[in-house]
Amino acid sequence: MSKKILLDVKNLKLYFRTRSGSVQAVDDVSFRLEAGKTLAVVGESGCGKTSLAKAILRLLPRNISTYSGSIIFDGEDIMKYSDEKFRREIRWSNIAMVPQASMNSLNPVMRIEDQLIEPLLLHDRHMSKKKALDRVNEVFNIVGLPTDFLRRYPFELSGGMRQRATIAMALASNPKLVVLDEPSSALDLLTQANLMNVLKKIKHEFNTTFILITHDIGTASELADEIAVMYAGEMVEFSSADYFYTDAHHPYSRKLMASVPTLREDKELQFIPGQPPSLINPPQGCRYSARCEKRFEKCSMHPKTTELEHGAQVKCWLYDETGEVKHA
Amino acid sequence: MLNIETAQEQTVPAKKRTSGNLGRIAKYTLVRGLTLIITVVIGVYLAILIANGGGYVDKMREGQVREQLSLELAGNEAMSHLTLQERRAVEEDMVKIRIEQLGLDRPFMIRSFEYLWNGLTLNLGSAEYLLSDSGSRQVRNILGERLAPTLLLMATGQLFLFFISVFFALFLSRRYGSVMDKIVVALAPTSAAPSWFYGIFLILIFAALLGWLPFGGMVAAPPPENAFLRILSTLKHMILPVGSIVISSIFLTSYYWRTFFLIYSSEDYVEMAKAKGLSGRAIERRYVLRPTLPTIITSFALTLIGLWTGAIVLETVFAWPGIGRLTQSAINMFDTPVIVGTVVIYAYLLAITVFLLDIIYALVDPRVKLGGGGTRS
Repeated sequence: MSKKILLDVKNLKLYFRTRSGSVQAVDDVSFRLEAGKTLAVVGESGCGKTSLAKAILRLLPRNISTYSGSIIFDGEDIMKYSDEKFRREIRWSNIAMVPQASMNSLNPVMRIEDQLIEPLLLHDRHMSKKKALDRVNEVFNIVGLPTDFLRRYPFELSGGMRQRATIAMALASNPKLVVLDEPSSALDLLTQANLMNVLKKIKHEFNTTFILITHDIGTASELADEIAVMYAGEMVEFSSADYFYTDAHHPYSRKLMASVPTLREDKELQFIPGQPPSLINPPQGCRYSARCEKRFEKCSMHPKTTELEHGAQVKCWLYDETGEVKHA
Repeated sequence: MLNIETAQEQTVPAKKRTSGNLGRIAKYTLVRGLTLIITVVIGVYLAILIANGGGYVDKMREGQVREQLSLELAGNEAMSHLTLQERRAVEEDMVKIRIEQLGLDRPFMIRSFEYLWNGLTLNLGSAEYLLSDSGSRQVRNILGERLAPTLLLMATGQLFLFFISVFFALFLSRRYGSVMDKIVVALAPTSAAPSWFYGIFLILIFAALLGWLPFGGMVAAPPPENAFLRILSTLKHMILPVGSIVISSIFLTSYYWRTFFLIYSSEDYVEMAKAKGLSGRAIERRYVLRPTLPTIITSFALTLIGLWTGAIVLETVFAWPGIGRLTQSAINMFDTPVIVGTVVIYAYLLAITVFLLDIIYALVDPRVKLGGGGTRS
């Protein structure tokens, strides 16, 4: 497989302004993703996973206070694009998204077909309506929906079907990167498995790059090549899935793994006591330290990212051999 | 391993819905139409009962007949040789004949249903006191003459109100929290006052003080010979009444609708549309305005009911020769057939407005269904 880097995110920050202070939803996140690979972003609720997805797609609410860093997509820094250029050249034609609760992401008063061909016609002026419809039929087949459903309105489909229709919409324009924000969270296990199979098939057949945001580590293992663990707005670990599932580094990642039920293994499911810290004025030092069993004095300082073997990155003092303790 | 199962959910055949859409709207229209007709019948019957004072007006008319006859007889030379008793007897006979002529001898309840039918078919015979401008006594002629000006004024006012409010509300929802937005929110309670209230002020300012626009009426007196000038003159006369209709409701409707727009623009599909790379205008039109329209139409229907009720006084204030002013003079002169006629016309107009909005509602919202399969989502 090619080693081409499709997405290179450096020091990405996304802060929101609220009445009680600045929410550091995405704080200094950096990672690289090769073309054709799937990155699973895992972590508890409210740790900035969805904000990361929105930051990449520049889907920002009104109350943002900081939005900085660089996102190099396919060799170009798309953070430098104007809103209009970003809209025309990046959105959907290059990066598509399946949002959280994607069953609600279809306009209730428009036929599904019209919603699917809309971005195709918009981003490719040479595309005829007929060709767009053919393409939409094609992706409906890929996600396993009968094509006569295209003429229907969203309310005539079940939740699972609407989710698949949204995935079809994301695939229709052949984007290089698809961000899936908890695509299966509201579905029953059978539909979830079905969806994962669909995604796997797409990944293998079309070599699409995915960012899969989920809190379900088990489901993520189906698809992921890389795993990123988010905690309190920071990416505390980034590692190859092969190593992550057998040997996670960060104490938080280990706890996460220990909380996943496994069949025929006599282990007690673990949980992490306490709550992730508030993203408004998070603690000065390591954000996980308050819940960490391996906490030691250095943890009151903010840890740096340490590179480990196999290209893994971890943000924890335990792995920082050279890092100097600086007194703030 | 990569086999995927096609949807287990594919159950409903597709042919059902292509033909289903028109049928759905037809069925919906029919049911809504029938409901409105029943409402109109009940409304008109109540109006007939009230206009006749529950039958008391018959007694008044009987008294009037008696008084008129006794005056006639008193002045009649041929009767002067009769004794008082004989004169009374003759008077009684004549009153009886007159009352039978008028049909007042039959029970009121029976006649009320006849009135109802005649009312609904606008077969109201002749007015008691009022005349049409062309000199006809027929209620139907009097009403017909007045219908067009009312329709012209109210339809113009309502259309203006709707479109100005929609665009203004969209504008405000884009600028949520701005000074403009706050001003509109603060002014929303001004819509508690009816349109004629603002009409008085508009007349004071633009007719009395500035003298730019006419005080009232529909066309300058004497009307210009040239048809084009006549239309211009009418338009000029419409500015103030239409203006007061718009002013009386615009702040409330804009405030309401801006809130609807704000609610609907936080829907997931709006963000999805943004992610799809649609332009701001396309998102606003297809993903905010379109899904919000059904809600807006419902809210507008309620506003319209208020506008139609205010029309009577509004037309009187602006001396507009429509049904409203006719209603007012009919009430003043106690002209029951005309009162009933105007009530019926208003009932019809209101029902037609609501009916039209219902059809538009069904057209803009594919989820509207009656019977046949519950809605999901």
